[in-house]
Formats: sequence, structure tokens, C-alpha cells
Amino acid sequence: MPSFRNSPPLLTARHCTAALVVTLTIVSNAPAQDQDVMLEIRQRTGAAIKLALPSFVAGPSAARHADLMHEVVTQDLEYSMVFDIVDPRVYPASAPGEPIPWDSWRSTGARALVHGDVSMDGTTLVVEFRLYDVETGRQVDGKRYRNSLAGRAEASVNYMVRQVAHLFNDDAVLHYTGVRGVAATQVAFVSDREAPAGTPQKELFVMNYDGERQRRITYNRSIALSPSFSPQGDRIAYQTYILRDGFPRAEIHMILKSGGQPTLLLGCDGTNNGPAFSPDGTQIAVSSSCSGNSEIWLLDDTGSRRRQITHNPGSDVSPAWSPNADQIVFVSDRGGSQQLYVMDATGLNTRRLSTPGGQKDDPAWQPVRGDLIVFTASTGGNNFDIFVYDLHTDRVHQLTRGRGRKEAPSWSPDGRQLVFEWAQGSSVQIWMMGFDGSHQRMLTSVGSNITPAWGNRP
Amino acid sequence: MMRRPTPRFSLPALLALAVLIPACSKDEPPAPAPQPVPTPAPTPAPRPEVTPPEAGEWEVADAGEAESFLSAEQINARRLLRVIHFDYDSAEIRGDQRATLQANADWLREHPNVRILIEGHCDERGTREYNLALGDQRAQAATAYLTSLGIGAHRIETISYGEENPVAMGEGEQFWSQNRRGEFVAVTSEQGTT
Repeated sequence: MPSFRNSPPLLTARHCTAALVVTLTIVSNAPAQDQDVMLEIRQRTGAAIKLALPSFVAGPSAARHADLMHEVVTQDLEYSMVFDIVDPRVYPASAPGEPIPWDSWRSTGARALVHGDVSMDGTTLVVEFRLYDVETGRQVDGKRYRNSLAGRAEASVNYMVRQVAHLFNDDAVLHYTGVRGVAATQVAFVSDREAPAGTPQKELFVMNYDGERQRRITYNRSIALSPSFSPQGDRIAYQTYILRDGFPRAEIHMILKSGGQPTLLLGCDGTNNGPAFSPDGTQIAVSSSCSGNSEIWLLDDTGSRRRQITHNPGSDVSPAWSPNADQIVFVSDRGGSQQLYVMDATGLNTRRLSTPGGQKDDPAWQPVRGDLIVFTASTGGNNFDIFVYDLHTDRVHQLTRGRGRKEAPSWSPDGRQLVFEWAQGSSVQIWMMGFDGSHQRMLTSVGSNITPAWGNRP
Repeated sequence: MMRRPTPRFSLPALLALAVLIPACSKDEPPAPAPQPVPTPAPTPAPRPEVTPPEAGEWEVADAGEAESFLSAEQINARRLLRVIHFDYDSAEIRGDQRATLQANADWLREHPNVRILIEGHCDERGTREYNLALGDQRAQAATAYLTSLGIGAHRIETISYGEENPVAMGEGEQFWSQNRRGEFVAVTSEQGTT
């Protein structure tokens, strides 16, 4: 796996020419340029693995579960950005118990074959998944899952079925990429769905990767914003407004994902926002106007030590860490307009990323290879779109299009998918997509749902 | 929500008294504090762990002129400190807003113990994080203007709500222009406790 440490230095003489190229890309919206950038990114990401996924074998009382499981696995594998599912119309017919017709499977072009078997053992649901390498005809992974359905309502059974499908997907992704898939992960976000009418209250929520089990975490009766998951997936840092001695303060708090009493990380005078956990979970970068105007600060994860690392008359906001924690990307208006900057985590060696055009915000560093920085940028009017900056080529690729404000992108832990916020008219919802902008899907629908953060499964 | 109740002193209660006894003049003794009606206890079973309710010592002062005796909540409810507005994507104090700031400064000078919070707000355009920073700049700009007019910086705190607390919901300049604002919120009055 390529490591970010081996990537070229960010600031090179190429920057001037790169800036020109990027200007053309955005201003003229040239699709050819755009596609070239994504082609290069895809080459580094690895070609999609052709995978065949015939219907699962099912006992008579498990057919319904097998169908749902097959549907969920299919979707997970497609969204994973690792697999390309071979058209089922070319699958060879084969009955359970008979030898697998490998020659016929090879002629479909499939590299991987998944067999699922779902049956009931009394009130216990038994699920077997097997992953085969078509070339050799060998089983490369296989798991048997058992779980009791006794006393479970239908919704609960369906949830269970979805979960086991997610677990299989994540194993399959791990097998082929070395990094576990993300179907069993979770997303923290902020919603006004339970706010009393006429108040601006927003609380912290968590949901599964597929939008299931949306549940409330905070009961602050205030405005929560901008959560960030600890890399372990057990804690969430976020901004909230809280009343102290009569003055409301914009503070950084931390809460367990399971809920409970939040703890204070930073509450100094002014506005504290945009917390970002470091990749090892020991530090949190924030922007704070403690010292007069917005600067980037680093806190330890108890909030007892803090250090200011930018010192600039401009507003420095929206920090995010590189995967090996040695650099921080942030947004500053020090040059006139809001642009992306990268600095060492010590605060030294600050340099601007050449991304021409309007206002930029919400950068987030690809967490595995570290070669991409996703961000949002103004695309005219009140439209914002999600872009990636490729640190290898210093070029930019636009991932979203269409009306509205798409902002606050956050990478999946495996760096292959993105979750973001899309405001269209008065509706603001959480969406997901692949790293290339494909498979865009909406996960929320009740109330306004904003500032998502993707987290590991704890 | 803005003030903590204090056990010995209640400004709203005093103001209520001032309304109830309009004839009360400066020469007259202060109105007596209301006494709790003693409840006859037929069976005096002493329960030492329960303290009987007491009025405590009421501090009594002259209510004076209506304007000179205001709680923070009254100052805010009467909008004695006025809102200023900003241009799109700007934290500069607009020429047509200077008179409002001057009026706020004059009022604060006449009420030297009032401490205020300046809230910076934005319209929905731009990203949330950007608007948090912009709201912060708006609050700072208003603070700088007030201090340049002689208001002590120690009396002012700032906060940004970005675009998260709009007063007008809708798309279009007539909504956005109302939301790009600086609000001046009294937090403690001259009689308030901190």
C-alpha cells in the first residue's frame, strides 16, 4: 500500500503551472481535464474487482431473510468502491451441492465469487458466506454466523439481517484491500428534528452507515455543531453553546458515543469551533478566538493542555489532520479570500494549496493513503460543491453538481467514501457517495440534518 | 434563563411592589416586606431536618424613575440596545449603522454597570464554518467600535452564532439582510449579581 510519507513534497516549483491547469479546470469546467484527474486517482486506488454474487441459497423458512441479505450485500459491495458486480444475466446456472462450474464463472470475467447460504436451525438463523477466487477455484474467506430470532419483532430481525450483510461486506473489502470495509461503521451528525418549534436547537445524533438506527446522543437543549469522532469510534468531540454566568459560550465538548454527561474540552472567551481528532486520538485541533481572532489550537483529549499554533490577523478555521498526524490542513482568509492552507502540526511551514476560485472550506484529509484532500468550494450564487485536491498532481476534481450547498464532507475510515451535507431549498440532509462522486444517496429525511462525521465502529 | 435567581434579592418582585404602591414616595418608609402567613400547627411534631420557609431579609431600595432600575431581561425586552446590520460577506461597520452604535454607546455610558454580550449572526449563504468565523468578526468589529467610543472592553463579551440562529426564515435578500446582524444583549444590569 502506498504510504503518504512517500508522497512528493507539497510545495514545489510545479505549483505555478499546476495553478494554471486547475484554473482552467474550474473556470471552464472542462470535463476532459476533470476525467483525467479522476483517472489518475482511480489508478492509485486500484481497479474495481469484478465480483459475482448469485442469489443466496435459502431454506424455505429463511427465503425472506436471504433475499434481504442479498440485496444489502449487493448494495454494500457496490458502494464500497472496491467491487464491480458482474451482470447476473451472464451467471451460469448451478444447483447447491453440485460442483461449482469454474470454467463458466471464468468466462463471465468475474475474479471473485460470493456464495451465501441462509437457513433456520430451530429459532436460530444460520448464515454462511463464502468468498472464492475464481481463477484458482479456491475459497479465500468464509464465515458462519448464528443468531437467535426468538421473540424478535420483524424490524429487529431485518436489522439483524442487514448487520450480518454489512459484516460480510467489510470482510470482503478487507480481504482485497487490506483495510476493513465501512458498512458496519457509523456517522455522527446534528439534527433539529426534536427541537421545540421556534427554537434554533440542534442536538447530536448517531446513525449507522446505511441510515438505520438514528438515535439522539445529547440533551443540551442548545445548538450542537460539527462533531468529530475519536479514531477509536467511542467518543465524539463537538461544538455547543452553553450558558455560563449568564453569558452563552461556544465551547468544545466531548461525549461518549453511548451518551451520558459531556465533558468540557475548551471554553475560553469567544467562539470555539470545528474540533478534529488527531489520527491517534490523543489531540484535538480546533479553531478558537481565545486570543482575539480565530486561530488554530491543539488540545489534549482531556482539554487540560492547549497550544495556539497559528498566529495571523486573518481567520484560521476548519483544521483537519493528515493521516500520520504530521500536517494540518486548514482554511484561512489571510490572503483575502478563504483558501486552503497546509502546515506542519507544529504550526510551521505554512503553504497555500493552489485551488483557484471562490470560497473554500471544510477540508478533510484522505485517512489511508493521504493523497487527497476533500473540501467544499463556492460554485456560484449560493451553490457549493464538493471537490478533491490531489496532492500527487496538484489538481482538483469536482465530485458533486446540481443546485444547493454541499458542505462538511467527511471521509469513511477506509478513505473510499464520503458523507456530506446537502442543502436544497429549506431542506438540509445527510448524503453519502463514493470518492469519485458516484453512488450519491440520501440517508436522512426528518428535520434538518447537518455536519456529518464518519466514525469507526468501536 | 439569562440570570440565576438569588435567594435574598429579587428585582422583579421589587418592581412589582413599585407598581402596586404607586403612592410610595421617597420620604415614606420603605414598603414592608411581605411576611409569610404563619400556618397553625395543631400537632407540633418537631421535624428538625426540615427548615420552615422563611422570607429572609429583603433588600429594599427606591424604584426611582422607570428607566434607572432595569434588570438585564427588561433591558433586552424593551430593546434598549438596538441591533445593527451588515453587508453580505462583510464584518465592516456600515455607515448607516454608526448612529445605532453611537446610541448603544450613549446608553451604555449612562448605565455603567451593565455588561453586554455582542452576538454576531450571518445569513445562510456560505459554509457553516465560514459563517461562524464571519459572525465572530462582526461581533469583534462592533466591540471595537464601542470601545473606540469609550465603552470599557471589560463590559463586553462576544460570541458568534454563524448562520445557526436566524431571525427570518426564507431565501432572498429580504430575509438574508435581517439575519446579517449584531445583537447587543444585556447580561447583568447595574443591580444584577454576577
